[in-house]
Amino acid sequence: MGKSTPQAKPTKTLEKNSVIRRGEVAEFFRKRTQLVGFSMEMHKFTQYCAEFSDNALDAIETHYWKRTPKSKRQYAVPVVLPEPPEAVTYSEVPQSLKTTQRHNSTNLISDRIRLLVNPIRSIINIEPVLLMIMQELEKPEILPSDVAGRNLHMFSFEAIDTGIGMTIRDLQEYGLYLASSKSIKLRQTRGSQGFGASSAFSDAQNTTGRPIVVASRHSAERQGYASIFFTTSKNKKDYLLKETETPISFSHGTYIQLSFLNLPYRRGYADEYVRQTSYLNAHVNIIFIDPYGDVYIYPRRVHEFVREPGYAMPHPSSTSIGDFQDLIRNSTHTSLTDFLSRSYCRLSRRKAQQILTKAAKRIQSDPITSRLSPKQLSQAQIKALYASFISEKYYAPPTETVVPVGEEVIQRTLQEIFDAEFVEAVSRPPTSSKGLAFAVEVAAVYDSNLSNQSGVGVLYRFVNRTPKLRDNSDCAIWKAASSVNWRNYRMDVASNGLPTGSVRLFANVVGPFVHLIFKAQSKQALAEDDILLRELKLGFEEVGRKLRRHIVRVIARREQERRADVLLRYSRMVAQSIVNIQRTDSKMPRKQLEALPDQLEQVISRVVGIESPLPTKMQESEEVVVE
Amino acid sequence: MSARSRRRNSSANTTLEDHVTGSDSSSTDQFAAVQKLRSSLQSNQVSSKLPRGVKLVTEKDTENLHTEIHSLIRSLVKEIGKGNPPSLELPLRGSGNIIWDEENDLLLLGEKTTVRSLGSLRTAKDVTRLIRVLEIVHELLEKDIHATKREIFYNDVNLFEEQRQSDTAIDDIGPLLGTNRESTHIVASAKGTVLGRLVLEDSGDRIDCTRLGTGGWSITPFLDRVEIVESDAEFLLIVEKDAAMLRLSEVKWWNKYPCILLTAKGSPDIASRIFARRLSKELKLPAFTLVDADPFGHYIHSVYLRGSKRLSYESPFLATPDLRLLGVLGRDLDQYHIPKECRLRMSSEDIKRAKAMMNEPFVAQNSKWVADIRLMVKRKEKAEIQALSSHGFEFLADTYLPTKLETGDWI
Repeated sequence: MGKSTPQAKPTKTLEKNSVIRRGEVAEFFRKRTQLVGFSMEMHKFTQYCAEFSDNALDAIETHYWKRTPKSKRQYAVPVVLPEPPEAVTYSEVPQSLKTTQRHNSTNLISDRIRLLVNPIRSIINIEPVLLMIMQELEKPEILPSDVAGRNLHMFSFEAIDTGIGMTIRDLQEYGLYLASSKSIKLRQTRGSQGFGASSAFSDAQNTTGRPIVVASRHSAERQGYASIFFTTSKNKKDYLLKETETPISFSHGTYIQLSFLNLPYRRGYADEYVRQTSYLNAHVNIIFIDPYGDVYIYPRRVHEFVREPGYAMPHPSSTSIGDFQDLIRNSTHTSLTDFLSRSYCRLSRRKAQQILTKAAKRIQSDPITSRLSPKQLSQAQIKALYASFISEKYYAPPTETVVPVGEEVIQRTLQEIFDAEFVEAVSRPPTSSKGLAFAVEVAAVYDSNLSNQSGVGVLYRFVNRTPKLRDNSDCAIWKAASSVNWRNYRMDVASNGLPTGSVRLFANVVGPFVHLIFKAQSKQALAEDDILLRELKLGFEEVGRKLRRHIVRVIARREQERRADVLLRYSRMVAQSIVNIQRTDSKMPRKQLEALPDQLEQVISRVVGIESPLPTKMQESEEVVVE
Repeated sequence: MSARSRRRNSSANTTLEDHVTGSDSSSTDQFAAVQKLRSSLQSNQVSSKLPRGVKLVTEKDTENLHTEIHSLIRSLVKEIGKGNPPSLELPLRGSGNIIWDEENDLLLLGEKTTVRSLGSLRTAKDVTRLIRVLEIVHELLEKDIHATKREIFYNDVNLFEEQRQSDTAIDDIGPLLGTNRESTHIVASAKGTVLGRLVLEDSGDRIDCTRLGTGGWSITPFLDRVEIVESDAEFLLIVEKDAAMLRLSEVKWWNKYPCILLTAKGSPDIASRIFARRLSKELKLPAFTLVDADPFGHYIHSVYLRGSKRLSYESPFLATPDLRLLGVLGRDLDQYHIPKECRLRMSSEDIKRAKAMMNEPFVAQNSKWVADIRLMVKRKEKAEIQALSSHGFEFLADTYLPTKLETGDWI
């Protein structure tokens, strides 16, 4: 491949006969929005919330890491949301706009944002806020024949975040397939692929034929921009309103508006998703208004913002020959030593030298030296270099790329939410697999007043703080949880291997590693990596042990209460009998006899280890007896 | 008891002479064997000393027992004052704590005890029931009245739940207070009947048991109100079954054979046993039983003889250790030519009971008895007293019993 070969020039006939054409990614996905989770079912509501809350939360974090001075990254807790925002009546932004109407439409967008933000205007510029509103619109008039018989409704979806916002350039790219701020270098983020928003836009347009409205203001800019557009199958935008300066009533952040078709709205999907999102994103204020006008408010619960994860450089152990080859071909480094030590983590210059020396021995005819430029390598040389590169031993990848939520935060948050008798969280130390670091966090909540649940009602899965509501039993988290012998921890177990009853389990897998092991584009389930499964199991077992201690204590306490109940009942009867007998005993002081029932109750209470109900009387009667 | 009754020998009896129709001398000759037994009983004073290591239960009068209950409760109150839950120490009543006193031929309670505490979930209920029974006993003593076990159960049905429970507590109260059932004023309803040559006083009413028709005097549970006035009987015959009793009372058997007849109509109740013992002891009479020729009949004999295991601590007040088993013996079936059709096949239950009885030490040391039970088991045959009627209804009264008594054919 290093040597160039003469290429045949296509002739006209050749062009006519050839049949293979390059398709567009956008075209492919526009027709297959179900691959990313958009099909006509309840989960579509969830999916809209998921895609835009992922983006919003990433943007909010980016803003705080990049634009907020470290000294100001703390908040006063608790935040008091001024007043619950009422469900704001939907006001449609006109779709068919001509350039002459520009001014008019930017005003409409501005007004709409102002209306939405108004109830929370006092915090919008100082607090991290995510606001999502779903509303039902009038029924669509025309439906495609394949869905004509179904009871479909039209909904609007709007989202506002106080993230870093987009520059005009970002805005131009936003919504196109594979256009992402996170796909170039791997990092612990929620999104990574550039499929989410673009797929949502596709579904919105596909089902309603209405355009997308996006307005954003970057925190470094003085001005915000708005645009109204369709995305096309050529992965381009067809504008109704090209990016135009627009007054936006927050200092940084993004507003999007779209409409889509779906079955009638039901509770328990989108609202549940937002609720679960709030569990592990306690550093953000989250508000959701559903089509019924119900307002779900999850105020920020921690005063410290989360730490910024490092970018994950590739680690040698996860590098395939293909990746290696690709990286070498595109390298701009002047020497092989530079290339090796700067492209990979845990690979020092000395280590690079060793690799090169060993590689040189493998191939005598075409010697490899450290001075050689990466681009000059022949195919055989690359193979030899890779062989020696991969046979070396390396330190595990650095773990600063992993930012767990933290035991304390999870515990405090869950305690506030559930107000349960038992809340315990475990953050396993970061580890790595496939050359990328990750950490597992597991928590358990137990309260005898919690409803009896099983399966999805018990196990809550999170990946990089994002709740996962679908494909439950296909996920490594589920499999690890069901591989634990919960009976050991005094829990009832369902046939699926998960515990049942008044218990809730939470597992969060964080780190850049997860992006590599999602089973599908919809990012709902993690593949069964051995190290991941082991870590999860260890985490579940650790909270299981703590939970067992608690349950044993609860059982003991119940037993004690039962004992106390029985013994006190009998002691009252015995006291009565004694009093009846001793009434005629002249040797018995009357006062002593009167004190006896309480005194006996005291003694029995102490025997069963419960609090003495009448401490003062006890002392009195004891004195009498001592006399 | 002896203070309350006057002992009379049959020869000195004038009151009963009028009713005796048969010749005194002939009957005396007839019962030479019985008389021999009687004189041996009178000369052989049974040692009243109990062996060591047994729970001694004594008869206590109302006043004493009343005081003792108060002092027991005071000790409980003292414990409560020290901060301890009240507890009671009770002798174990299981078979592991039952001792056979060979010398006196009695079943007695050993000294093994168990502690029941109100502080323990396992025993709190027992303690509550015991103290409740104690409260009732205290009330009975205070008012000097009696109550039956059934009445005590109905006194607090919620606590006792079933009579079995209150009965257990009642059985425990005796050993707890170191006294017998009679002293606690708790009585079991009595079902026994007495007929024959006996004059007694029941709550001040003089009763001549020869003038009570064929029904007889019903044994009262309030035996402390009964005094034996006089008797010229030569022996006491305890009959298992009412039917056999009727056969004898119909012909006024005691007129021909000077005796006292007693039946408890099956398994003997406490009052019947106490009264049988009193008759035997106070009048120094030889006592015999007439039971069915089956293991259960022989078991009834053993209950009169040694007392039951459930109330072993009361044995000295309930047992009649000099009791002889007159019949119907297993060997009598052949000896008196009981026809095959009148014999019954023994059930597996009968055989089980027979084997268990042979293992009892007080049976095992009586070789004649063992041999008779063994014969029954071997033949797998049993017969009721009524089987004797196959030779005519008069056979029991006129032939069987006189023959047995004359020949001294008893165990």
